[in-house]
Amino acid sequence: MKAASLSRRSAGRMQGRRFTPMNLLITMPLILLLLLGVPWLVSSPYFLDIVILMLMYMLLGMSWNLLGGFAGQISLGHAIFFGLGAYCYGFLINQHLTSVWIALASGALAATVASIPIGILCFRLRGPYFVLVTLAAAEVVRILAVNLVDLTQGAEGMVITPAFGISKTPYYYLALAFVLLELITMVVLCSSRFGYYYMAVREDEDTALAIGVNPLIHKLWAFGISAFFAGLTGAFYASYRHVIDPSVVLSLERSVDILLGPLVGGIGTLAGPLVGAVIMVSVNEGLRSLLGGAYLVAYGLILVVIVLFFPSGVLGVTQRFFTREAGGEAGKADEAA
Amino acid sequence: MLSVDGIDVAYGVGFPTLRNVSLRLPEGEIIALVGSNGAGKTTLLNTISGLLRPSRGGIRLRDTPLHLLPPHEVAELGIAHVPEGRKLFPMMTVEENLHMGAYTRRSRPHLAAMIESVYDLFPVLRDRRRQYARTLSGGEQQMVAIGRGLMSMPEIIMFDEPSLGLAPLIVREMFEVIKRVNAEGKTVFLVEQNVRFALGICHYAYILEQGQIIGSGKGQDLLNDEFIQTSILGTGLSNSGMDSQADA
Amino acid sequence: MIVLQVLINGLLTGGIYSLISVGLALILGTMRIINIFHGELLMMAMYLTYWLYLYIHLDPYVSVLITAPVLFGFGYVMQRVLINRVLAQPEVNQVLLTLGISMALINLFQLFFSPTYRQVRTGYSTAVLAFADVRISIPYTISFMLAFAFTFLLYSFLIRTFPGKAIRATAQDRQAAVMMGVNIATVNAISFGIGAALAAAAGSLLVPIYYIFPGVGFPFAIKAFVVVVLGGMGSVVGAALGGIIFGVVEALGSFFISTRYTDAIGLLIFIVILLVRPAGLFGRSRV
Repeated sequence: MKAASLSRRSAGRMQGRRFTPMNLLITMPLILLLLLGVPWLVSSPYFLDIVILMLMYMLLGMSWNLLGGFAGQISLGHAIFFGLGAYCYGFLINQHLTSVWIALASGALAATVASIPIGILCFRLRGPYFVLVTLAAAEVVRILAVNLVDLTQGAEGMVITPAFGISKTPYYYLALAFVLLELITMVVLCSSRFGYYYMAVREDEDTALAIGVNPLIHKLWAFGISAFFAGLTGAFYASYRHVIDPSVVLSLERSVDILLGPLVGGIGTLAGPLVGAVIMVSVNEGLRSLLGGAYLVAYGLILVVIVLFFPSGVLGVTQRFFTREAGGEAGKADEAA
Repeated sequence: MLSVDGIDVAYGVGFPTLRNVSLRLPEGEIIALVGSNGAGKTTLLNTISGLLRPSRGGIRLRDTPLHLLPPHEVAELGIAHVPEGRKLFPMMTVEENLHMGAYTRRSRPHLAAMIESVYDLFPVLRDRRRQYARTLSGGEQQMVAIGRGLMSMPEIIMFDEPSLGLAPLIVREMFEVIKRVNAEGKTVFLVEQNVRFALGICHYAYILEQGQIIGSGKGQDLLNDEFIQTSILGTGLSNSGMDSQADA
Repeated sequence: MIVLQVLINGLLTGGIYSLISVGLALILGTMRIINIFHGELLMMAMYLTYWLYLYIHLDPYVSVLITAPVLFGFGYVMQRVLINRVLAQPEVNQVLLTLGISMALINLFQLFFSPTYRQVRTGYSTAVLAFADVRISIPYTISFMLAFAFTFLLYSFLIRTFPGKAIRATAQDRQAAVMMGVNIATVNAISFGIGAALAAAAGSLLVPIYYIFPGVGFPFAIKAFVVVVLGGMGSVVGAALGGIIFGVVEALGSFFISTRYTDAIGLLIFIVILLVRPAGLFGRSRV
């Protein structure tokens, strides 16, 4: 809720009394306390694993959302950065080159560095063509990862020395810290002038250019920051799961998973990826245990249903019920088409 | 007789809205619609064509309610629309553009004869018939647009700013063509910013300002009307200064 | 001499790429939508061809006469029921809708027909024509020629017939097409149907020379996406030429670099070309 109010503020729409700074001051520590206590509340490793998964998808969702939601560049290749972070981490750890922390940071930085040439290339295209080229770029990276066996161990996958032992608790706190870091980054970005630049670029690139906002520079910034967090999440994933292979960390399915959270929660809102990650991971796990092999069919159908019936995401739907401005931002996004 | 009865039209942000607009297009006449830029003239034409739906009121061709029909069926009833900015199919040849004009079922059987008559009307198009529409000059493009409208053998033909962006000599030629089209028995609905020309050739005219009909009358009467001369003709002429338009 | 062999192989494969891409370009041109499940249309046609061969011993090339109309119907209905509803929505929703359909179809086939690779081996599957050192596969040649014929058929349809002109008109100026009396909803559904039928034809032509499995379509679809971007803004002619070029470049690349990178090379070339000519190789064309 807190984040939802911020998103609306970032769009230049102060909404109301419910989310005053005073309220935030009281609710924030409460939420934080609750989050810190999760490992005690959730004793089963299976459920803690699911919670960590949710945090991971929050990280990835927010990362995708910065580019896709705020800057309006729909990427179907975000797994590139996730996979790059994971492989970078795995390589550094397995070769005993750096400590875990430096490896994590390197994963994030490698993704950021890679985002610059990839961005310069992909941003030459707009609209549907941009979507296609990100998809193609991700395929290239995946095929490279499968074939560069010396670096990646190819399709067999890379086994990585565990970083923090077998308990899931440290990973939970690490992921939580990353989520907070990314959330704060997003809030700061969106309330700064960069947030407005991104939105200007999303709404109309030519107009943005005309008023002195260079779309390419701002798209590259958004891409870089987005890649940083996707890479960080990839590195984290590698440290947590110990095994990575191209079909898991670099597949199109991964890219789709990444954008499902924001899609379900509400694209272009701060809270959307958070809410969406919780819903999608729950639904995913539920379907998997319920349907077994058929769950991917259901997954695809759910995608179809969301697009057809809830095109502005869960937050879009609830916003319609709870705010006077029916459809608010979601409606605006529809018009932008 | 086509009649527009008290329609309200609203769409999108920043587009003009029509309020309680009524007018009549009696058979065989030239009816002009004048008014300044952004008054809602194109919105009205698009509504008659069925591209937009009125939220109130109705449009009838004799007894058929046009406002309930999808746009392709409106075209099928013999209402042609020569749109603003011509909107030719840029990567189609002149002849193909004309073919598309005769797309409706009612006109397709007469395709060959109609093409000949359009070429007779605009001989230059006969030489240009294998050329892509986007390679033509502005005047030639307007000829194709008008020809394309005539290809459907319409009962009513609506022209949206046919003089826009054309050199004065060609503008005169266009108006001659419009008169000829009318003389052949077609009802003409002419939307123009070039008020003096439009009022000069029409039987009757309506003035649209800010989405509302603020006056109507015989073309010559309106031309002589003092109010019109100062408020509409004044703005009309300055808006449609031909030199500036030729660059548009 | 061996380079000539590689060139010919690339050319023959390129014909199939053209056929797939041309349908995708048609859909992209009229509806401005990327059909992510284009490859799954191909996959379904391959299964259909396989079953026709298995149960009634129908030759894969003859089965085009069945798969193309069946998939036309499938595409037509999908457009009317699903695609049509998102045409006015933001492109992310369009992409996700077709992506969701793609995922559902792949996994549905995996569930019901297992991920097992199947193949149809006809009497001519391994037949070759030999000219000195150059050996030309007969089924590849037949597939290429049929692919060329279908592409040409589409071209003639678009240039000569009224429905074809209506499709081109819609792609060039939707609003003007409506004013001419074109029923856009029908044009969209027919274009989608034709696109699906062409993918189906490509699927049937692939059966004698390729494997059949639920995920078979996706790599082809990705190549077709690339070809469509190369060909320029939904241009059918561009896509046809682009497909051939893509096939040749890919063959040369995998010969000079490594076959393991066959799939990546085409995509890399695409990225390089993008740097030089972001608007596509051929610019605008009639269709």
